[in-house]
Amino acid sequence: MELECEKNHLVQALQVVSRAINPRSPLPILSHVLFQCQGEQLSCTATDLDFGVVISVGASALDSGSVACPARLLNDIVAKLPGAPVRLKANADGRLHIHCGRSKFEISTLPAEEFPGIPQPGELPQVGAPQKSLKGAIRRVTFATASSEESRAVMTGVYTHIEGSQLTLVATDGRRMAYHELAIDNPEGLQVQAIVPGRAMLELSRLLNDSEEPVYFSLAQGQFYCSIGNVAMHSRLLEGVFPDYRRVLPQSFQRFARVGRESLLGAIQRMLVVAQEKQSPNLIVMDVGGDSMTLSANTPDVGVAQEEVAVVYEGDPLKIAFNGKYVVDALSVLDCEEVEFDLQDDTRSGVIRPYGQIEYKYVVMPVRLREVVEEAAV
Amino acid sequence: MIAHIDMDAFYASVELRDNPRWRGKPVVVGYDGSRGVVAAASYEARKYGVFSAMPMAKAVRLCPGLVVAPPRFEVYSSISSGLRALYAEYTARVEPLALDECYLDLFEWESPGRIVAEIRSRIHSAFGLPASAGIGPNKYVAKVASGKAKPDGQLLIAAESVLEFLWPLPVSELWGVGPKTAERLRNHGLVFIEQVAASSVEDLTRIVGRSGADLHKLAWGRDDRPVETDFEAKSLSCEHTFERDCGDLEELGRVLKRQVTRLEERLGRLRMRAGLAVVKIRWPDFRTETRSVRLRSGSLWEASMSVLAERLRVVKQPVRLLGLGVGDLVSEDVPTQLELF
Repeated sequence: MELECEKNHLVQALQVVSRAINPRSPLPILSHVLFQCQGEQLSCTATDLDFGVVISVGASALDSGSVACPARLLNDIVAKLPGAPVRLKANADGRLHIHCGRSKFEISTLPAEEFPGIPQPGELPQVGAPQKSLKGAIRRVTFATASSEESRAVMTGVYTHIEGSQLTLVATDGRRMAYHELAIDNPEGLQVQAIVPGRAMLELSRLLNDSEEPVYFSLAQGQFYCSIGNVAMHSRLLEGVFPDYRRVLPQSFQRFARVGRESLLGAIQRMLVVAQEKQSPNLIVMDVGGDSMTLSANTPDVGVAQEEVAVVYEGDPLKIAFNGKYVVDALSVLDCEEVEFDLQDDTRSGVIRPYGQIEYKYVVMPVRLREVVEEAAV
Repeated sequence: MIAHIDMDAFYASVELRDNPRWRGKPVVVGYDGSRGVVAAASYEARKYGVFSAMPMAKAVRLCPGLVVAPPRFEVYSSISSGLRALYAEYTARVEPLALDECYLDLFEWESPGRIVAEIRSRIHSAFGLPASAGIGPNKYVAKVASGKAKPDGQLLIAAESVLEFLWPLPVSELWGVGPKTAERLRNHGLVFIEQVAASSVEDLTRIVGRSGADLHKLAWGRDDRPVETDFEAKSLSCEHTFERDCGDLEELGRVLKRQVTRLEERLGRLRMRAGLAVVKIRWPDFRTETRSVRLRSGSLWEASMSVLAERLRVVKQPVRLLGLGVGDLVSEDVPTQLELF
């Protein structure tokens, strides 16, 4: 294999594929990027066997062929090269020669044949969504996935449901749940439910831009496939049964609070500074009634804090406590002026959504306070 | 003064109280079966040489006509709570040692002997159960005295009579001296506590190791440990040995369910909740494994059952012993994050 390529193209390609490389992988080949060069194209592939990325960049092949190069090392070298065309040549002795301006490098490679096969989507039915809205939806949902040390692996993924012209994304860690509906273009009437790893969702959103231009993807054969411009990514889907999210979407509320998103976000962030109780971290008490919501935090040995936020409120007064971090997480990913915080009572879930919109719902369970326990025990 | 109140043959006495037809008969509490052990023996049964911790099969052999009552821990446990409530009327400083044993700090009372007599008589009328008590200047003396007061009696050892009381007793009455240590002491000519008191700490250390200094102190009737009232359970557990190794998930599940119920009741009484479940499994080859799993609210049953099912699927062997424990206990008063699923 021998080729010439713009340095910038190579830098971009190596950056994109590096996302799929696990530097601690026990298999040496997985820390390598596969170069395949033919005609005017260099395609670079990396995978950790669950998640993989392929990017094609313009190059002039002097001799087509393929080789697996150590990704980190190559990335470090290429990033520091002067801004001149880069010439790569893989020799039969397994060495890759890198020439750029007056610089020369020679590094070891592995044979391309050792590189694992990458699942190919072939001719699968696809659905399309505007990049900007899909990117926003992923951002508003994926943060609610469970971290990997949690016991239920399915909850580290985003439940993805395609039916008709609607895509539904749901993520939960068991204590809060983010739900998003999105209109999609589904020309072939694809109907599918799958759990896409949260990580793959985040990688996808990194590749998306803020345009109305559609992105197409498919969910089939246990894989999620998506290609955007010159990048194609795939991820193994998570197996298992996702919790029945419909069951925990509250159907009715007794209390409705409309509140400025930023003022509530700021107030809770300030309360969190003192909410440091070890056994119930980030505990924020909300006292809502009339036209105000009083937030407070109290950690013996640390301090107390209180702040009042103006609300438009309907319903009986309520004292309810939350893990303030859960509320902050949701308020931070929204970009609306006002949110509606719909509540039932102090032991049932509340729902946060952008005011006047129904596509997004964030369900959050409260923290049961001591007083309630005592009353219940009497 | 400190009192050590100890219920007489507690479980067996409860069974005798609730089953009048057994009165006068030798009764033990425990599971009847080849692997059961005696959890408690009535005084009638003790006459036949039956004692707690003895294998049930041996007890039955020693004592023909022995009545074997299956344990009812929930009953014993609720009596125990009642007893503690009664003690609490006399002193805030109560240290429970077991369901049937407590230390009471009675330093505020002028005549502790009279108070203890009153407590014992109230136990008798409220619960219909006999209790014995030892009263002494410290925990050690009180505990030895309650042993001497049994059954259904009390013994007060005033500070000035401590040595007179202790010294004629055999070395096995020293705290921490089991059969092996007693043997070692006897081999060095130390048979009675008085002889231990007369030995030097150095000699004792040579004989029994590091605990030599402690033994010397005890032999002189000295024990400065206070009654610990801030005792808090850090973990709870129970286990079940199967009559025959059991590979039937349904039956294992039933046993586990009982254990879950029992632990949940105990947690409820302590007003605690658990953050961790520990499943213990002993396989036929005696290999014992424990698996812990984080608990989210209300899922002790689900969490432990899924661990059990998973281990059974992997190991593919019957189970000899199944145990369940809970740890990371926190007070119910700590706010709880509620769960969606």
